[in-house]
Amino acid sequence: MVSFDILVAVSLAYVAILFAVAFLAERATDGRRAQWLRSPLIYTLSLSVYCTAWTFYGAVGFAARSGLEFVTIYLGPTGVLIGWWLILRRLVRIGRAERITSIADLISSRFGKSAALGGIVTILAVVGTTPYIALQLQSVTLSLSVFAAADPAAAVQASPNSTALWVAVGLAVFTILFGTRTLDSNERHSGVVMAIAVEAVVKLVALLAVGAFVVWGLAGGVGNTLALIDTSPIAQWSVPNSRWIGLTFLSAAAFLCLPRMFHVLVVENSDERHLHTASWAFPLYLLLMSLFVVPIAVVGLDMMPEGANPDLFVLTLPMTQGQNGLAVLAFLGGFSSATSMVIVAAIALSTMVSNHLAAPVWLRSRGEGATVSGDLRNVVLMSRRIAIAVILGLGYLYYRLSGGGAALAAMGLISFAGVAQVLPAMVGGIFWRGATRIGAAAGLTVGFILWAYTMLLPSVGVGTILSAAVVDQGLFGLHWLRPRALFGIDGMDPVIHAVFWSLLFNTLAFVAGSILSTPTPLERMQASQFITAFDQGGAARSWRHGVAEAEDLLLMAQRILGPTDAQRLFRAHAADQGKTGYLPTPSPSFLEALERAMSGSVGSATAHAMIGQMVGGASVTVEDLMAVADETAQIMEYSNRLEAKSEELTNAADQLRDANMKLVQLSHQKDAFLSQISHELRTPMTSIRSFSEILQDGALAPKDRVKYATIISDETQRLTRLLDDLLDLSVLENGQVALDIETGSLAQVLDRATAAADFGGDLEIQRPRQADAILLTTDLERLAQVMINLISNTRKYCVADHPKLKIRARQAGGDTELDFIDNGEGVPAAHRQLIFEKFARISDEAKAGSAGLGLAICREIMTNLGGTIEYLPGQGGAAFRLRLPASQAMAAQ
Amino acid sequence: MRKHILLIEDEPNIVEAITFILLRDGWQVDAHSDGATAVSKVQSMAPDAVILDVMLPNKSGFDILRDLRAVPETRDLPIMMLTARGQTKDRERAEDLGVSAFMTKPFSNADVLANVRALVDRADG
Amino acid sequence: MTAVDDPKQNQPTRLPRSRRLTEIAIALPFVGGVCVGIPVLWNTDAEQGAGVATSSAAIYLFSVWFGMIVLAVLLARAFARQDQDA
Repeated sequence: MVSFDILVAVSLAYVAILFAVAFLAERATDGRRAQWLRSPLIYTLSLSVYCTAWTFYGAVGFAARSGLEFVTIYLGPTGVLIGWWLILRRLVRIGRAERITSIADLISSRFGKSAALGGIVTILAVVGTTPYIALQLQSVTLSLSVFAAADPAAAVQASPNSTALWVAVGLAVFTILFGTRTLDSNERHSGVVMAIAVEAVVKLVALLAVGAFVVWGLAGGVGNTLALIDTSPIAQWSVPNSRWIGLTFLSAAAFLCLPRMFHVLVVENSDERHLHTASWAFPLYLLLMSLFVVPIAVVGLDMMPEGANPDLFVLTLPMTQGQNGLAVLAFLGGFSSATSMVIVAAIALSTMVSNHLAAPVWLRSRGEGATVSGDLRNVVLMSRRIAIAVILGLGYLYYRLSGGGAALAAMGLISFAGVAQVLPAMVGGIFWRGATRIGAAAGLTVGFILWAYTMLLPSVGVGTILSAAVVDQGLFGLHWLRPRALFGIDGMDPVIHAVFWSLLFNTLAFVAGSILSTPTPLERMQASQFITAFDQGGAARSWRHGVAEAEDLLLMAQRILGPTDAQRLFRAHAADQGKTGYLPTPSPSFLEALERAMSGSVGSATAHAMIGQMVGGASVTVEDLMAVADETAQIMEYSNRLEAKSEELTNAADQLRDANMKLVQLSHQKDAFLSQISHELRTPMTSIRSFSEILQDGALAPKDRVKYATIISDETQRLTRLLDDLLDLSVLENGQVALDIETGSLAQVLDRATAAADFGGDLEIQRPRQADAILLTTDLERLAQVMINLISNTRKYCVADHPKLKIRARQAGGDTELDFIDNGEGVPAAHRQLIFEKFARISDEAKAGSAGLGLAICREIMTNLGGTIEYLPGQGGAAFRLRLPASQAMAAQ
Repeated sequence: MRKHILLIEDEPNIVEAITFILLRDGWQVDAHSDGATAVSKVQSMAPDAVILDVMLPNKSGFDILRDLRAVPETRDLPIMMLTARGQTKDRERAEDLGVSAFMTKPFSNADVLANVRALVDRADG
Repeated sequence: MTAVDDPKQNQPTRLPRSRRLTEIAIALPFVGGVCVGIPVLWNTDAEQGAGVATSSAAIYLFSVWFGMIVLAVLLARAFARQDQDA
């Protein structure tokens, strides 16, 4: 007999070895030798988390009760892997392309990064996995109790309940240490995967050893074993048609949807080509695990006393035969099965809980300003640790509620049916463009409720949550709502009943909801990303590693920069490297450039994390999670806005169009301005050059010489004035002008202006009577400049026989208004907007010395003074109104 | 007989300069400053060559050129354009419209004379 | 993405073989499904106690299972070879 203490010591030693393996594997990932850690073999072995204690112990029990039916649980996954081309290839490609971190992330991401869907799937997964974890607790408890019962010297003859509790606590601590030791950016855990692979070998070897012992050691060879089968209680096998097909389908669905399976299949996948190997190697693993199940069951039924639990034959057969070493190996195999499942499931679930429940809630509670900060790291780690503890706590609770007496297979099937509810949304999401968020949410919710009502709640024991009355007479006494006979259909197998109705209504709700709802733009975008994930590259190219990397970068950059810009960037860099096409070698300089480009869109921290994730692998930690959270939050907010305020979006589009038109106009204006300056500068220069040459030629009459010299002088002055005006305008426009604020009367300013502007001519100026009384506090020099411009404009453009300029003044509420009104023809309405623009002479009639800058300068001066100048219509002639604020000194500066 | 040049230009000083150098070189010169009436002026005067500014009041030099090229009588008339805007697209536009020569202000007097002579000679030859 | 270096355009002769492989890959799980589904057609009825011998049924199922694995091996090797050629 193996003493209980030795067994515990062996278990602890085994755990220590696993820990060492995980630790060394994780260290090796950082170094050069990481290649073989990511081999197809390790990938295949990691898939064996499918084979839990249910397989290890429960399959024999299943076979002892129902004959060959147990193989359905392994034929389903075999079909999925053999048909990897159909679904798995697509899932893995999408998972890698979209950086999917869990099945909840897949569903959420496909349906427009919906936080709600991520939450629903997470809750479903947690609830669905709970019976499964209970199953592992139960199996470890049972196997321990076998040893404890056989060892009278066992120090603690613990009750099964407290044993289960200790196992749960132990596993929780172990998983927290194991799974949240590092916060890996891409949710890959090479250490855990390596440990799982080791456990996969241990459980296969253990089961094969027990099987070989049973067949050749106990039964006496293959022939005798077959003969023994034919005389056993399960010699005749009646194929249960609906269960045969239903369970095969269910196990296939669960294989794809179980959070831990999705994790090892998709998230931990480092190379699509690994699927090639796994497509035959994992079915082979399953076949080997199943090979000796029937012999063990038959021999157990034959040799073990009546009433012995067939779930434990794997353990009890060697023990009763005195094969202590084999029994310990079998125990370790079962222990491996249970622990690997719990570890991976807890890691996968805690990732989902932290990413889809904790982080969104935390981000929301932080409000709008929740940006990049170190706090998220703690939130994520802590929420994962808590999630692991809660998940194991739920498993323990379920174990207690269900009484610990259920067959392992029955508990596993409940779990399978629960997580299979994700299947319609998942398969629909990757194949059907029309699938929408509403449809997915409806399907998941309906399926979840039906599964819980028909399967989960009855399983925890009648009278616990569902009263006996509900089970017998239906909800609210409605007969057709009996949880085990919906719609009054009796006689169906309970498992098939629950699976059939829940998945049927799930699918119907999913399809109907999708057809009846309209996807948001983000959903459409994600749908096309998911559905065309494959058609873009062509299979052959996608497997060339170097190309795939640059291509991954391009895919990511397109999502952030938009296809046009991203492709332009990539093409330019490829050209720099002397390559054609869009895929440059991901050299450090190119990566830097890409990161810079992306920083513009998502911020530098996020861009850095994303590039690091694509290229470096393991080095990025916290930033990456924050990137994911931030990006999701941003996109969520964006999509909410799209939904809620489509009208606003239309307005925004209009505004954008206007802004674009303004930009185009501005560009035209700039061209026109340069063209105008060119014209205004070249015209006087033409005269100057031409007459200079004439003067150089000599032989001119003195009268002509003087005349031409005068023209040159005038044109030079014109040039100088133009340059002065331009400089003035530039200073005013840039707001760099230093104002010289003083107080004076309007009369003083008018005196100064008329004196400067009045060089001859017959313009009559009517000044306001109260000019002396009006005091202005402003830059009087600049104000005079405005008036000079207005007066000389009148002089130039007023076509009346006796030009008159009437100046009116008015003070109201501290503001001063000055109107300059002439008796000419005025400015046509169509031109009134234009006259304040640079070079905006209305007619092209060139008045000597005028470049059309006067009113533009006036407007800039008035703006600088805190006032306005505008055209005043309806005054007979041209009229301009100046408005000055009371204390412009404060207003303007 | 002296060849007749019509100068369509609105800057008085430039008109004066070009008129002076052409007269000195032995040409007969008339000047016109309004864009709107320029086409009929050309048709009524039937000059041997036209010097045409681009920025004219009421009608641009390009429009005048296009109208002149549209009728048979002036289709082959030598027309030299002057512009102060100095953009290549102006030159391209003028060439598309069938200009005979194109000069950017400011110009050298000798170039103007050389261009006018070449234009008239080519038309004669 | 544009068809910058679409392998299909460069190597038209490879198309039939890769397509054949793809078709086999798609057909395989359905063939397996039919083989695994065959027991449903066996004349068994739990009510009347009629059934097949568990031993022969097991031999049939494990043979089908193993056969599918062999086919999957061949297919995976064909894909791997195609990758190397490409």
